[in-house]
Amino acid sequence: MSELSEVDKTKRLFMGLGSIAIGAGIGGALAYPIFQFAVGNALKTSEGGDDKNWIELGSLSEFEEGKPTAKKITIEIRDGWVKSSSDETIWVVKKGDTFLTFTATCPHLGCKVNWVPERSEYFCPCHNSAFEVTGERKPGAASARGLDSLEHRVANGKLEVVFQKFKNLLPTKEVFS
Amino acid sequence: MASPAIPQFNGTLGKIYDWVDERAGISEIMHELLDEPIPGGTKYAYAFGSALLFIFALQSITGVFLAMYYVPSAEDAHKSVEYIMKEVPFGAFMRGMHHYGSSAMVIMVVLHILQIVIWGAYKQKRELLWLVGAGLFQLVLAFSLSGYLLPWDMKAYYGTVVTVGIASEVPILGDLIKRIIIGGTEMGTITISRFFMVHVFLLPALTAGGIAAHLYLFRKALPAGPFNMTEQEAMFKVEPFWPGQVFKDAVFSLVVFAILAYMSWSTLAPLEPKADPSQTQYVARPEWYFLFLFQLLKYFPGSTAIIGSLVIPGIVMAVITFLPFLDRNPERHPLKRPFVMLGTVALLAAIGTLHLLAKRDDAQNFAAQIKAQEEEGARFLKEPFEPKDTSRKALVAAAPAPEAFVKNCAVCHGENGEGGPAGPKLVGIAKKENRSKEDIVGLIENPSAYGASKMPPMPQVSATDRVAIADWVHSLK
Repeated sequence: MSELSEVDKTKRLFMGLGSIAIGAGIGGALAYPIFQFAVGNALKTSEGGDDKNWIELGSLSEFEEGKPTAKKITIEIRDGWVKSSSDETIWVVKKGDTFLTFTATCPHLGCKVNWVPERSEYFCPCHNSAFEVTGERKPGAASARGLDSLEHRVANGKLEVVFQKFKNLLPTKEVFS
Repeated sequence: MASPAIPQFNGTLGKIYDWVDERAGISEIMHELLDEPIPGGTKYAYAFGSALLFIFALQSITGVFLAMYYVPSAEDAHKSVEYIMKEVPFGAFMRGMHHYGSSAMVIMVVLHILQIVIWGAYKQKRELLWLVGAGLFQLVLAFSLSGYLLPWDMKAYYGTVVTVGIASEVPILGDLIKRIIIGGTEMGTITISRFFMVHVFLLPALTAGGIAAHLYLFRKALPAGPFNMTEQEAMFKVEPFWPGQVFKDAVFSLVVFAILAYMSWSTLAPLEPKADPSQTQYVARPEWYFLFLFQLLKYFPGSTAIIGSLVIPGIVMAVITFLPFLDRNPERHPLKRPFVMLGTVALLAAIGTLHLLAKRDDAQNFAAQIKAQEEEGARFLKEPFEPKDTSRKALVAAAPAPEAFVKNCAVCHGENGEGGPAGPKLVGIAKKENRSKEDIVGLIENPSAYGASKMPPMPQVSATDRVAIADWVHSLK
């Protein structure tokens, strides 16, 4: 490389920095659209407005006093380019004239809780969170809050709920949508 | 190793650099990559190869990200591409870059080959370098063919039907080859899945290996330099790759990038309605750079078809591939190589002529249909996105068609309004402009007043029936 032609140092510096600048410019110009593309619609909050979507759980007579009943509901979800149906379980407890309705999703990390009659508790098998029949967290539960209750009403002799998802881990209930 | 390409740092930065360099050998790599001597000096004419590498990188990046949303199945491929185009932020831009990038790749590979041919740069022990290059050229074409099917729209479907048909012209093994390409006898999910695997995994891997071999052999052979200088003269004017040639390559790549980005912003990459094997009016055309091959087929009817589809293109590809073995004269000046230069010009002229003849034929015979297809494609892209509905609600069967529809409309529009050879589909018509129930009632009586001049007027349908038909048609989703 000793017989390199004598090139003006400034010119070489310009071409070197120029090449790096062009490379960085193209990279930068691509980075923004790619980032937006990759994030996609992940941060879009679901539409639907203020209209509450009441989902029927069954006739009032189906529920026994004080005994948690699992009810499967079908919700409509938007999954990218597909509109589809998905099933969720709701725990319903009758207390006199009133009802308690909980989602079966553990507020800790999102596993599903089951009712264990022997111990009279909802139990999450993932990290051993236990909840009272009323949904309150039992001492020592990994979850920071009790089970998430859902808004419900009685219409035409049927129990109905509004299904929602909530954020994990927090000590208070916050909607995740 | 004093080299202008190796960064020089002082103080702490210099110490850090030295520490890394002693362990990673950066200086050595930089010297290897960037100090390559270019006989006769740097030139923009040498930028095509680097630009090809640049476009390949762009295609890889945009392709990897498109794969985040694309689903290779007959059921979802088209919908997922439509989702990319209409719903994903910058989706149309990303697909545009990939779509126009494929054209840029073909243009650039041709320019690269032409430069090498004109400069006679395939001579002097560069046979292997050229052979690997010829292989890469064919990989570029394979990329284009395999990618064409993936959106699963009308042109993708029919374009691939024709390509696969050509493959089946191979004597004796034709049927077998066709079955293996399609994955059976029906084009569908298995076909898309195969093309996807080839396009996204196999070809990129082969291409990456090919590029590595091509670059290695290029560095081994050294650049050929100008054709009008002796080797001594060229070595006297030698310049290193960095920074002069790198800068020229970067400027050229920037121009290519700017053009691609502008096109992707200003013009949506085409996407037609979903593939429909029952459509008989569709005029299938390949991507523009294969149009000359398509035209060539027309001159070989019946049993001679294989001459136009496989024999002639095969011979031309073989001549290109083995050029360094056929042209053994060490002379490099283009004006002193009349045979190769005239052959090149003749080939380009033949390709250009066939291309223009194909265009002229279409303008004379299919102008209206091709225009209608383009308009249909543009209309489809403007339609708001409607998700595919697989929810249990949607599975509840739609009401049966009213009798008047079955009697008067189903012949052309299909029994369930799905469209047929002579009439467009009516499913989803409620979403279109100027197609309210009242419009449809009026349209049945006087189609041309509602822009449906191809449809015959239906005065025999009573007013009550017209309303029933409009109600039912509007319920189709």
